[in-house]
Amino acid sequence: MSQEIPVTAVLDTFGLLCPMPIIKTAARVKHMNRGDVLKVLSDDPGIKEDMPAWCITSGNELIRIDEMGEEFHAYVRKLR
Amino acid sequence: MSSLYFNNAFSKQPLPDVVAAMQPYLRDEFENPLTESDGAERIRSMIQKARESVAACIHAKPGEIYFVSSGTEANNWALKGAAWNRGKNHLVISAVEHFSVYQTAEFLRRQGFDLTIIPVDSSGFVDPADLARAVRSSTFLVSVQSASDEIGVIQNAQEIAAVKRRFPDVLFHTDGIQFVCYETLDLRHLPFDLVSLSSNALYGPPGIAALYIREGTRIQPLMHGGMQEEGMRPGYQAPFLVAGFGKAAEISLSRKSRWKERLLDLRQTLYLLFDRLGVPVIGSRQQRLADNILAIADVDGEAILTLLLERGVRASSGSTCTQYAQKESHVLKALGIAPESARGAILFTLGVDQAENEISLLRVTFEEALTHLRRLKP
Repeated sequence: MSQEIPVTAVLDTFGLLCPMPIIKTAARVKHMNRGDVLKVLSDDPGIKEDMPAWCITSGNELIRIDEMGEEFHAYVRKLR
Repeated sequence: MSSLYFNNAFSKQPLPDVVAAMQPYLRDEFENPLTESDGAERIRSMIQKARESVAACIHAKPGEIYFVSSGTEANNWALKGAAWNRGKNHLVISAVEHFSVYQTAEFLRRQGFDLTIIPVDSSGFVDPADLARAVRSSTFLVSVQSASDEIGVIQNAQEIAAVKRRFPDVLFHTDGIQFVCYETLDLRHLPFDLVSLSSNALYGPPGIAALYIREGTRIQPLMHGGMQEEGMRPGYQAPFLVAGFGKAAEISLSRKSRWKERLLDLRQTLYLLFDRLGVPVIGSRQQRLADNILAIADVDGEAILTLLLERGVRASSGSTCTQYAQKESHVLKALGIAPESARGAILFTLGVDQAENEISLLRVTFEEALTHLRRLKP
């Protein structure tokens, strides 16, 4: 069983496809503090590729992505 | 507009201030709001202001308003978007819904969803107890219109809201398109998850409408492939239509009480005429939109409409779809009106700029036409 990650905020992007989950993640992270964790909910399988790529280019940490049936929960820690 | 226009449920003439608000965006302000420029920023700012005005109409948050192309699209999106959430397969609608709810629900039924259609009583009201009994563990959505475009009957929103509170996991949608122009829909106190609104019903331009999606409510988009409307309704918004919708919402919110009061007075004179002529008004008279009067004459409705039209009076026999298909209205059928009686249906919907002498002309013209056709009856 995965360890529970304390989150600062939750962003629900249900129904949205690329690039909207990433755009909304970027907008939300912009207003968070360094070290905060954003949990992103999505039903777009594309997030499995998009979120790691965005975290690398934006300099943030992707803690992990959990698959919950047809839903994905991505945990992003703001580093910059 | 020529004065004898009584088809306001089908199309309302945009108000002069609405048209003025649209003008800059027909030519001068043309940039795409998704681009980066001063012009684009001005359009973004206008869209945000319009969103705030539409939200204010129903006491919602601006971020809960999504612009779409029509009330029909809003209703389609509410039902299909909820259906596509997966997991549940049952929806409930009332028997007097607009075709854009009724036929969308029928489409979903053909796609494999279970559909329950709740009957109404002879006045047009849904019984909230019937609604509560219809909800199952597999129900994902209940849709009951706030007020009928055809018979004008206003459902009891408080009682329907009480059913929603019993079933918090079920999404409740209401088609508020005709209702919001003259009545108050306060979503701070009514727990609807989805509400359809339309610009033209508020004396704004046609071609634009909105779906309210309560914060935290999940539905799937109808379309994909763009970033407009937070990605939930992609497609380049028409800024001139948004500007018009926003202005119409702003005006309607400030004037609706006066509009309603005036329309009730005008309509009362028609009630008196219809009563004297023995033409029954269909549906509740008390809980009814102020602009609506649907009556059933004992002559052919199309014949009387033709005579009225010859004298410049524009009215209708019911919903556009029913009129074109020349078939019995599902709404009148739900009220228990026999098909032969339903052929006598005549719908007048008044407008806020209607003068008293126009109503007088309508009264005279209607009485003459009815008397003439009654004389021709075998």
